[in-house]
Order: sequence, then C-alpha cells, then structure tokens
Amino acid sequence: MSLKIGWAEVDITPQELPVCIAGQFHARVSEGVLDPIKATALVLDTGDDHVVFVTVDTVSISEPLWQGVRDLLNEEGLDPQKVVLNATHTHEAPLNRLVSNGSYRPWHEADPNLKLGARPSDEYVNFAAERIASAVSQAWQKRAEGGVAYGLDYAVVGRNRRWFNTEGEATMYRLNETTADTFSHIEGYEDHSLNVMATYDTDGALTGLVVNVPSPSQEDEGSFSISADFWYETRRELRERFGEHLFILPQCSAAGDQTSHLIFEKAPHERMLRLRNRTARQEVAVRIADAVGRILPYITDEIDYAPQLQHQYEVLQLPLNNLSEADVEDARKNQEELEEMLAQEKQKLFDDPSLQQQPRWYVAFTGAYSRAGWYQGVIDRYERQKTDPNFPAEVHIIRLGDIAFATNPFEYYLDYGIRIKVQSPAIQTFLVQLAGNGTYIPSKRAADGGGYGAVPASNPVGAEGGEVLARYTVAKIRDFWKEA
Amino acid sequence: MATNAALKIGWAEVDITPNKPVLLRGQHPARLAEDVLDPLKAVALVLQAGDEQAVMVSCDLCAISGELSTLMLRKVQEAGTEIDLAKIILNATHTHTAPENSSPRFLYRDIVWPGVDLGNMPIAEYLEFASTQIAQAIVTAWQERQPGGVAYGLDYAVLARNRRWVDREGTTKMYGLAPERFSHIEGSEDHGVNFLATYDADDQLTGLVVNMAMTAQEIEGMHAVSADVWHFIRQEMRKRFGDNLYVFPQVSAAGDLSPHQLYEKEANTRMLKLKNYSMREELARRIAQAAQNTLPYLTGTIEKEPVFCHLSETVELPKNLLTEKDVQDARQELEHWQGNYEEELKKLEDNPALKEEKLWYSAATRAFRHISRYHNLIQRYQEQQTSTSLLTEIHAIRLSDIVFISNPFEYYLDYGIQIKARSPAVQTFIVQLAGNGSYIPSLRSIGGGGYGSTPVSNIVGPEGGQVLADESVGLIRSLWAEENTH
Repeated sequence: MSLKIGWAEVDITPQELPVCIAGQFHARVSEGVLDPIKATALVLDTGDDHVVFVTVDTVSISEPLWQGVRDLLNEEGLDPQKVVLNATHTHEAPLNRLVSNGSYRPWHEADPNLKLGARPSDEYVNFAAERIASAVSQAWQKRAEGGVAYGLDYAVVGRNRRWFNTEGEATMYRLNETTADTFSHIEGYEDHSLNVMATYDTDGALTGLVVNVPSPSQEDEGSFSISADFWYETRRELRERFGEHLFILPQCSAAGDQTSHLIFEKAPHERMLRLRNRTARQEVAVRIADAVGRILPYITDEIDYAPQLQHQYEVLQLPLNNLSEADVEDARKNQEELEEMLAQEKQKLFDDPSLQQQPRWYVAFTGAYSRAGWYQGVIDRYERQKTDPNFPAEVHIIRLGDIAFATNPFEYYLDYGIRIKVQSPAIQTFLVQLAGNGTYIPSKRAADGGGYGAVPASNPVGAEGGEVLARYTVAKIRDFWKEA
Repeated sequence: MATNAALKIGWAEVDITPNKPVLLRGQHPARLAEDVLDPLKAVALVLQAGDEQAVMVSCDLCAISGELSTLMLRKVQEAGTEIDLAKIILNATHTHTAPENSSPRFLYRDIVWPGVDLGNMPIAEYLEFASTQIAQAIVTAWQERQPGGVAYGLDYAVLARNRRWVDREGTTKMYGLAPERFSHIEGSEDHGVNFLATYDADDQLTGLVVNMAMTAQEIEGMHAVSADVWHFIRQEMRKRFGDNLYVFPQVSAAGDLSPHQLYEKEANTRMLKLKNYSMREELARRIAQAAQNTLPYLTGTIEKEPVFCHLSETVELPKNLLTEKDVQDARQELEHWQGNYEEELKKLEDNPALKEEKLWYSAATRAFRHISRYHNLIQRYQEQQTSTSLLTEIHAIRLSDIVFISNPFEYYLDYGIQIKARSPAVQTFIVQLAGNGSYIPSLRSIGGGGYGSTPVSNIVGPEGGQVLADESVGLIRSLWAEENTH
C-alpha cells in the first residue's frame, strides 16, 4: 500500500491583541509579537490507516482547543480522532484554556474589578481552532504519494533542571553561588537523542521534517511577547540549510524534568554565546540543524514509499496521585497563605488605583491567585479520589515502518521516556509529550525529593500512574511489532 | 606563586608503543597483544611564566602506576633542567588496549602464574621504555618552550554514556541489564567539552587540550595495542586544524561513564553503517566538530600574560572501611575463584594441546585476577586496623579564568558536576586518572551496588569522594583568593 503525505503550516499568531500569555503562574498581558507562532500539520495516509500530527506553538493543548479542531473537520475519509495535536511548550503563546479546570483558574476570574485588558481567551481558542482545522484540511486535501526515511543523531539541548542537595531535597533551578555548597547531584538523566523523520516526494526531493527533541521550547519563558521560542530560530536555520519551503514538525520527547536552561557551567555557556554573537535560542537552532545535517545526507537511499502504518488511540484511565490527609493539610496551609497574600495585593491596588497604571501591575496578584488555585487543586482532587480515582489520558500509538510514535498529554519525566525507549522494539521511538493539556508526571526518585514538578500540587498523576503509562505504551508498541 | 608574567609554552609528543607482545591492562582476563592497531602516544605540555610552571603529560595508558611516575621523575631529574619535579602531572586516557604499567602487587599482572606463561614483554621492560620516552617528551617540551598565548572555550558533544542501570528492585548493573527489568539510569552524563588552545607568538594555533568526561575504551576488549578513540581524534583534529597540531587528552570525572551505547543501539549501529564510520571515528568527528564550533571564536581572546598559578596538596582521604561481613564475603569469593583457577590449570596440564587454541589463557587468568582482587580486599581490611586514610596528591592550576584540577581516581560524575558547580573558574577542567585509578563511587550508587560500587572496587568510598570534592573546591578557591592573584 503506497503512502500519501500531506503538509500544511498556518500562522496562529493572534490578530487581536493583547492576549494573556500562558506558561507562568502570574498573568502576562502580551506587549507585542517577537516572532510568529505556527501550527504545522502532517498527514500520513496509506488508505488502510492514517494519522495527522499537528504541532502547535503553544504551552499545551487544552480540551476546548483540541475538540474545537476536531469539531470543525469534515474531510472525507479523515477520522478526527486520528488527529493528534501536540504543543512545543513555548511559554510565550496565548492562553488557550477557558474555564477553571483542576488546578487551573483563569486570571480574569481573579477579581471582577481588576481588569487585565486582554482579549478573552475564548476568542483566541476559536481563532486558533479554525486555523488549525484549516491546516489539517489543507494537508489532507494536498496529500500525495511520497516516502519517508528516518535517522538519529545527537544535540545537547534539554538539560536536567532538578538537583538534590545534601539533605536529600530536590530543587528546580536556583543552583547558584549561595546554594552551591549544598549541592549533591543532578537528580536524573538527560537525553540528547534527536530523532528525525524526513518526508520526500516521488522524485526523492525532501519536503518536510519531523524533529523530535527531548526539550520543551521555553528558553525565553518569562517574556511578555508572543513567540515560538527556539523553534522560530530552528525553523529558519533548517530552511536556510535544507530548503526554504521545507515543512517542519517539532515534537517534544519525554522531558518533564528538562529545559534548555543550564544549572551549572552557565558562565562559559554565556561567554561562548557572546563570542559567537548568538542568542541562546539561536544556539539551540544551530545545534538542532547541525544534527539534522548529520542525518539527512545518509538516509536518502533509505526512503520507504510503502511503509506499514498502524495507528491506535485510547483514553487511558491512569490512577490519580493518591493524596494523603497530610498532603491536603499542607495544601490548605499554603492555599490560605496565598489567599491572604492575594487579598493584600488586591487591597494595595484598590487603595491606590494609580498602581494599575504601572507596567505589569497585575503580576503579584495574579501570581498569588494562580498559586492559591494550584493548591486548591490538591484539596479538590483529594475529595474526587474518594469516588473517582482515575485520570483520563488520550494516548496514540503509531507504527510507521520500523519506527514508532507514542503520544501522551503530560510533561513526562525523562526516566519513563528512557524506559520506553529501552523496552521498545522499534528501531527509533519518537515519544511525543504534551499531546494534550500537560501537567507533570514525576519519576519515582523525583517524587521522593519533592520540589516544583514533583509535589502533589504539580502532580494529578504520580509515579504510580507514570509507571502504568510507560507499561501501556511499551505493550502497545510491542503489539504492533508482534502483529507484523 | 601566582604570576602575570609572559607565558612560555612547550609541546612534545613521543611514541610509547611497545615493540614486543605485551599484556594489556583493563580487563579481568589477561590479554596478550601481539599486534598494533594504532600507535600509543604521550604528549607533554609545558607552561612556564616567571617562577611558575606546570608540566602536564597525557599518556595513552589505562592508568599511571607509581613505578612509572617514579622512573620518569628520576630520568627528568637526570636531564638536569630547571623543571620542578613537583609540578609534573601525568594523566591517562584510560585506553584498555595499552600495556600494563604496574608491577604485581600480589601475583597477577606478570608472568607469574604457573602454567600460564604468555611470553609477553616483562612489565619492567615496558616501564623502562615508557618512562624514558615520557621523560624525553617533558625535557623536549621544556627546552623548546617559546613565548605564546592561550585561549579557552566550551562546546558540547555526546560522547560517554552512563553505564549503570538500576532495576525495579533498586539493584544496579553495569551493562547487560535485561530491558524488562530496567527502571532508570542511575546518574547523569556530562557532554561538556572544555578546550584550551595554545598559540605561538604570531597567534598561530599550536596545540589543543581537550577535556571531556569520556574514557578511551570503545574497543576495550581487543587483543591489540591501540590508543582507542584518541587515534582517530588526533587524525581528525590534524586534518581540520593542521598537521602539526599537538592534541592533549584529559578525562574529566567519568567513573560511571563509558563510550558504549546502552540504549538506542540498533538506531546507532544503523547510522554508523549508513555513514560508513566505526564508533571510534564517529566519536572523533563529534569531538572535532565541537572544536570547530569553538576555535574560530577564540582568536580574539588569546592571552599572553594570563594569571598563572599552580598549587598542589596531599589530601588525606578516609578509606572505605570494610566490615567483617565484607571480608567473609571476600573469603567465599576467594575460595570459589581459587577452585576455579586450579581447575583451569588442571585442564591445561592434562591437555597441553589446549594452549594452541585462541585465548587459551583467558579463563585461568580471569580466575586469578579475581583471586587477586579478593586477596587485596582482605589485605585492605588488615591495613585499616592501623591506617584508615589514604594520602592522595591533587594539583590545581589556574590559567587566566580557567582551572585544571587533578586526581588519580575513576571519579564518579556526581562529584565532577559538584566541583564544576562550586568552582569559581569560568571553566573547570577536571583531570581524573592522574595516577593509578580505582573507582570512587557516588553516594547514590552505593545502594545499588554493581561493578564500580562494591567494597572490592572501592578503596575510597563516598565519604572519601566527598572529602576529595571539598578539598578540590577548596584548592581551586584558594587560587581565586585575592592574595594569590595580585
């Protein structure tokens, strides 16, 4: 059965500004557009089965966004359930969540009298869903016979951001001159594998690249401007080297404990950037493009025009992180402190309304508001677990020739990613995290050390659920290989 | 004494390839090398300014024995130069395909076991040869030193991988853990490649110190003499940066790392096949690429009068104290391996024709190696009744804003990252295996055990490892203290 391949890229930069930017506890009302954000769709269709991968320059894929896209699709032969959206995890794209959900509380609900002045997020969700659906439709309609080839190289991009001190406590970042003498070790591993799948037309000309990197795109995560983060520079670099019309589909492999930020050797890194006259984002782009450049020349004789394609999806019920009364007590205490802080911050703004004229006046109160909600999530989940101890997670497993793709909606710690790669029978396993709404699943050792990303408030699903997801993923990939 | 005087730089490279069959160091069974796959080198780098000096020599050897150092020092002294013998540091690349350079502490490592005569070059003969060559390199580099400059930089290359895997029960295994039992990789990895480039008075590149957390053991099981990955690194570097370039290897803390791919093996092998590279060539290209990513940007930063200071210290490391249970376990192992050894000898005695077969000596010498290891453990237990610490020499050399810090061990990476994170230097070049080796395990590795983190492997344990890290950081910081840097 021959393979048909379709590509499309659309701009999803909000046209109506400002918008709230997602990715930090506090609100950020956009102050401009640094670079455009994109959604890229790749259709792979053998007639027997198909998959549509869509990578979106956003922090995560909310349920309304994903469902919004699926609801708009009406292409003959296209199963909307086989459309997989995943996020690059840029922390500089518009909020795409609408209502309170778990630990999340939208900033505009913080106080009716404190208006942020941003466009409502449903406006952006509708806009983005429409654009993304159009990308899927275009890619589906344009699909034509072609082939794929794959390869592996390495690029040092994602770094482990969690470290243990000599007391056995874990911390994210904050390893500096003051804390260095308490440093014991980096908690976990790093994965610098860069998996590439290239697509070609029937003449063997390169048309697009799937680039799978175990690092979220959050080098400039605190910015108040819209940006695709390092994927902006990476797309440019790849197109400069391999063709201006190249389609590029970024994927983030399991990297819940990784970012492109360094926690040691920062000084020489920054010095080298200065000497090279590059930003950190450009440096990432060059490393990724170098790795791709070490793969592409060697796989052109490997193009497969009729690979086997199988795609299964399921909503998996993962066990909720089993919360104790102590967890709830702790959360309640933190939540009360934050509510108090929130009240104080609000009072300051009410007492002196001129403060609201100052730049970013809303940061402190929205930060307290979100953090309080984060802890409220623990209290809510504790009640929920009494009757419903499961967390639904949509997962997709795809076999394409000798390689596998496996998606999950989480920020999945690397230990699980390595385990899946170790146990997978595929020659290359492309893990795709953040194919959904995110949140961390900590490794067992991270949960023992605590710290941001590995505490009850961060983890609706804990290490137990992480294990279940890894086992399921490996079993499903193996099923495809057994059937073959 | 710290100085800002004009720097003089000297380089020399000598061949230390044996000209007869030798026993190789680096595996439990004896390996007789009758062929030379590629030559072994020792490279000397002399830095001298005012009254200060540093003499560093990197050798394509598994480790640097005390005998080799002693012999080399005597020969340098006999040459009658102004070299301060206390300022000489030898380090090994840890190639597992170079001759043994340590005389037998117990019985193993020479032609000393009855019935297993391999006809190899005696260790003493190789020591004499290698020490003469290394001393010659030092003297030549000293005599030929010229005014020059240095510049430094950092890039990344994925080289050595963490080789210790933890299973679901928390037990650690080096290599070979069944995927079904895999839980996670125990520690981290360090892909930073630190470069120090040297230049002549006309700013022409003359040499390159390459510091990375990778031991040279890609082909570690071979029965031939080889510099392992460094042979190809030198070739690749010279191809890209000049035929006469000196290349100086240093291994940063990497006791739990090796260049072997442990997962994604099939994908890696496929890529090598598509590229038509061996793994050694692939690693060489990655390192040369890192150099290429760095060198063009350093030329405006060359310093000819950098801050320069070399300190050394003998630190007292607490020994890994053995328990009676450790000794009991060792006695059981000893008994087992003694039985095994005798059986193997008997087989050879009963059927001398076996000696015509390839590697006929492996089983017997492997057994003997284990006898030696467990015998040494029991001896250590006896010694610890009177001495509970190990004196260890470390060196710290500040050059501009970077530092070299050496130790003689196979030092687990957790300590290396700790030293880098705590060091005030812009770049910290850790130099492990500046001595005779042996593992210092990380604290977290002890619970899981496994090769490298067991009493028999660890003369110094995590307690001593932490003392060594603290002392290393202390020595580095003293180089940045105001009184030393005028």
